Amino acid sequence: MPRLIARRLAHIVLVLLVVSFALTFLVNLTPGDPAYSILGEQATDEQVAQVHKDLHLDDSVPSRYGRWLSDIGEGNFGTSYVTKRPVMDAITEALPATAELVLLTILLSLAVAIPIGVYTAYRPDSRFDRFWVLVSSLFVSLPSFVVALVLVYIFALLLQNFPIHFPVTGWERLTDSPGENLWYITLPVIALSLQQIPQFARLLRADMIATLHEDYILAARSKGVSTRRILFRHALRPSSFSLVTLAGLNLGHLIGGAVIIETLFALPGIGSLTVNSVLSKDIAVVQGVVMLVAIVYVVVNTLVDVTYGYLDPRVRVRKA
Amino acid sequence: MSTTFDASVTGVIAPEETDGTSFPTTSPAPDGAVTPVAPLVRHRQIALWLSLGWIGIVVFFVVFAGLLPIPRYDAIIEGLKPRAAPHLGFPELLGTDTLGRSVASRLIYGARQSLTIGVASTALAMLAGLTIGSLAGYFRGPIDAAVSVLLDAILSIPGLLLLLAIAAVGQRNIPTIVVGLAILGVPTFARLARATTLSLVDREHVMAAKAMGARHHRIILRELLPDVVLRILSYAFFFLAAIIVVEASLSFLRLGIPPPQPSWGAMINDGRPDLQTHPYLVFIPAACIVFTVAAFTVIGDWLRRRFDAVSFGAAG
Repeated sequence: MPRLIARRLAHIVLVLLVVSFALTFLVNLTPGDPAYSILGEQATDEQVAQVHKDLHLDDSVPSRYGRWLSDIGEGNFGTSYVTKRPVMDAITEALPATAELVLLTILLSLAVAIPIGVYTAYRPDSRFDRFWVLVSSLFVSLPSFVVALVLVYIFALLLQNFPIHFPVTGWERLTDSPGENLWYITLPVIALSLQQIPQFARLLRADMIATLHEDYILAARSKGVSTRRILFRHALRPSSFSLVTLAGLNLGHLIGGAVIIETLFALPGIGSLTVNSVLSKDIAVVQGVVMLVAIVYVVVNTLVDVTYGYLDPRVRVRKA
Repeated sequence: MSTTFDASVTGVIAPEETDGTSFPTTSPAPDGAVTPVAPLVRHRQIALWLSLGWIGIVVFFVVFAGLLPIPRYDAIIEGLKPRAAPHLGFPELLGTDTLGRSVASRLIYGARQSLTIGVASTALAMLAGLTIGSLAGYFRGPIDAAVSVLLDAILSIPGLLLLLAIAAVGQRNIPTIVVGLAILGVPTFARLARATTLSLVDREHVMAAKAMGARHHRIILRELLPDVVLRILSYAFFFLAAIIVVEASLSFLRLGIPPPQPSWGAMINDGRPDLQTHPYLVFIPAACIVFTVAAFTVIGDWLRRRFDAVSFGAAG
């Protein structure tokens, strides 16, 4: 086990080094002088020189890379060129909305997907199971912004008294006014969840069907244990490992998926921050956000992977 | 990171997505379990024909867009108000958009853009992924290790975010977007190619080629590649479906190909302020995206069942 963890650590460090190097190099890909794309075409020579000095554009790539890396090591993700504030501040400000969105999405998706997965595994090929196959293939091919717009159309525009205005204005922090906040986040969370639920339910169904064929389930059944108890007490836990893994892995992807939903619903999260920074050519913020998301993703991914091996001894044996 | 479910570039997942390491097993049903495969065969057949039909129609319009009696995508239609509703009349069957341009024409030229970008980036991603993956799977060792770091680096950034980073520095033209989208697909194609190569490399025909003194490039190109391509082809359709969504998302965020070039995602974004009064401005292009994505998914699924005889045969 310790050797496995050490190998994992070496691997993720390498991965993050590659990501950070690519991000430094990103600025060099800008056609023309990045200073002009920041300042606009009518920039004076002094302004351009200032930008070059601030962004260390005249240094070689390796030296810039070294500087950026050591800054990140100190938790300094650079300074926004547009707002002149530390990138980290912008990210910390945007993080609560995205974190709330992503966590609530995972919770809602699990809450809906677990009963469906358990039931479709208990009665495979039943009418509901076949209906669910259809529904999930529908939701899987729906882009998130289409789902969101349909939801907005139904709930915010057709049902006028649904207390969600569109486009959304007046986002309140969860800590300031929990009620308002939860109302505003309802539709975004549902829009994101609709894509997660089919994935979760399908995975749980597959694992659960395998578990239900185990001998100990037969033993429990012959003892006269109730179906509900067998399904939720005996079978669910051993079937839920890959579900937990997928939920963990999807955390990272949801931050990406949140970009669209946040922009659409005007939630002040990481996604909106990124889109606005791209539109205003604020490369420092984009670099910072991408680096941070990559770190979070890789760390969560590794944690999930290692815990998985820890929870289920069979995995450890297979990997060794 | 051996258990990465990486196809969810956008949340569009291939049905029964493999995790890259265990390709081509498709979670074989445990003994005696009833899988939903059998009773769905007829539904599948209908779905397949509907999908092929829809793609056929789209391809027809895309190819012959220039010859059809439709107005240019940026021409203002005389005699019709902006946001005219769809009606049963020629030539503007689908009405006009917020500026008074033909919705039908913009849909068709938008499809041309989506499909060109989608097909080009899928081809590029597949080519790059095949090369990287089969080399890694064939030579193993340090090449394999380096490739795995590189792929995990790409995977550690959510797809849309990676594209946004590229959009932040690059020019918004077709080559940039095609390359950006292709980068998203390389990891999955490479993993599939690597896993398939690994599973094939010990087969008798490869062994025989080695015994006869064949060189590496001959073994890879002649003995391995044909099988690898066949197994991966179905994933190309899943990827194409995913890419159409990503491209639409990018245009929706106003970060795709700049106007007046029409694109389905941009049409949805343009219609968004009129959602309450003129919902069809949003829902017509949305329906086109959904149908196309669903059709490619169905076709990919069919190809997988058709050509993945090894895993389906073995699983019963």
